[in-house]
Amino acid sequence: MSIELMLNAVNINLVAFAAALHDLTGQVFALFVIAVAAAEVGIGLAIVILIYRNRATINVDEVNLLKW
Amino acid sequence: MKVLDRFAIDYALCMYCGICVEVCPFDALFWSPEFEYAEYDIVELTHEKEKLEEWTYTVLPPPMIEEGRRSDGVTELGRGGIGRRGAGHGRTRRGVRRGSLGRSGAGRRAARRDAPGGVRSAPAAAAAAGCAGSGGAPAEHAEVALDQGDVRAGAGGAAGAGDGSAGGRGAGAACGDGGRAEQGRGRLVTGAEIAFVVIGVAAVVGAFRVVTARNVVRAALYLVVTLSAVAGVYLLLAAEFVAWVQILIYVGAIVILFLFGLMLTKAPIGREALDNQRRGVAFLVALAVLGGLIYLIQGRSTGRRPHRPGGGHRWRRSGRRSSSRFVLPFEVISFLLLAALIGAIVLSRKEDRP
Repeated sequence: MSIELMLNAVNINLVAFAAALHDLTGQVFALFVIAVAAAEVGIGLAIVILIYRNRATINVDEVNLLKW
Repeated sequence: MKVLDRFAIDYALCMYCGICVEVCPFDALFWSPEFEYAEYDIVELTHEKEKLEEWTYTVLPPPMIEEGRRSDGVTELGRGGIGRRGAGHGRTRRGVRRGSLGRSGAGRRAARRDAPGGVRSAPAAAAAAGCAGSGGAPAEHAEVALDQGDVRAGAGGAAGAGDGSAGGRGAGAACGDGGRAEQGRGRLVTGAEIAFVVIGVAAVVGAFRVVTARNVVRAALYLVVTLSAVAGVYLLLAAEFVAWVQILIYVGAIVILFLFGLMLTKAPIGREALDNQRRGVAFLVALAVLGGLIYLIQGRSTGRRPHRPGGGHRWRRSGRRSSSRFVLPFEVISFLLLAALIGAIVLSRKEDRP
């Protein structure tokens, strides 16, 4: 969720500068960012569910399979 | 008091003399380069204001003001040959005309260049239709200045002769945005600024609660607040398309995905965490929503339509932009979404192989 907050902050900047500079490119870019965020959430949710299924927890401290 | 309740031009009668364009007291009529509109039925040649709105987007931008020249000289109308009058797009025709209907294109441009010469025409009376864009939108044309409310607002501006903000106030009342009507005079707090402060505070508080909330579901719901507030900011920035996409994708899809994820992974939710036993308040809110909807529907059926902003051409432009110059990124993003879709399915599929 915090990632979404950060992406939104970036989007606000993009749209605000698009409005300030009278250029639509920023808005289009913000749309792309939204699309990427949607993809990211879908994949993230799938990963979380997979982890939960395999290890019965989503506590990131306990998911240390890749830790050396 | 006379009120304009219909505006239409019968092109079967019009002979393109241009007199109405010249004498219009509100600078609401303009030539457009469009002229091909053959119809099979003569009735179709009477263009109502919805039809006329389409032509407003074809009105050419006003000529640039030359340095050191008073805007009295700018009288070029009817460039681009014979055409029809589009509404809106207030071009200062006879110099200083405050409170004219629509933002005067020449005035805006001049104001951007620190008002050379005698051009002080306040870009007043942000046309109610275009008010969403008046917060600094790139709109080159003032959209649909032909709404009835606009005509009245323009009349108000003209009546308060020289009072540039009168029309702005009238138009602002319709949409909570006085535009830049107060330019050059005492600084007023516009509706857009108040709205921005309120929305900004909501967004920041919501974001803070997202990070600090102990209950994940609560955090997700606060995320809804923040995302909606961000959508409001987009609306204030005249980026309607991005705002609605934000609502659809973020609030509609992403947060729901989050909640799904939380519920599927047995996050600490449950009756004590989610149900705060305030059925009465919920009932009141539901009643209020129902009442509001009924009121809106009633208003529609009795002809009192709620304000409809005519921001169509900005959408058109952003769509054109995203499908012409940004074709390749657009395709890439489509492919990315497809890959994400397939990846999510593959990842979360049950292993049912022997």
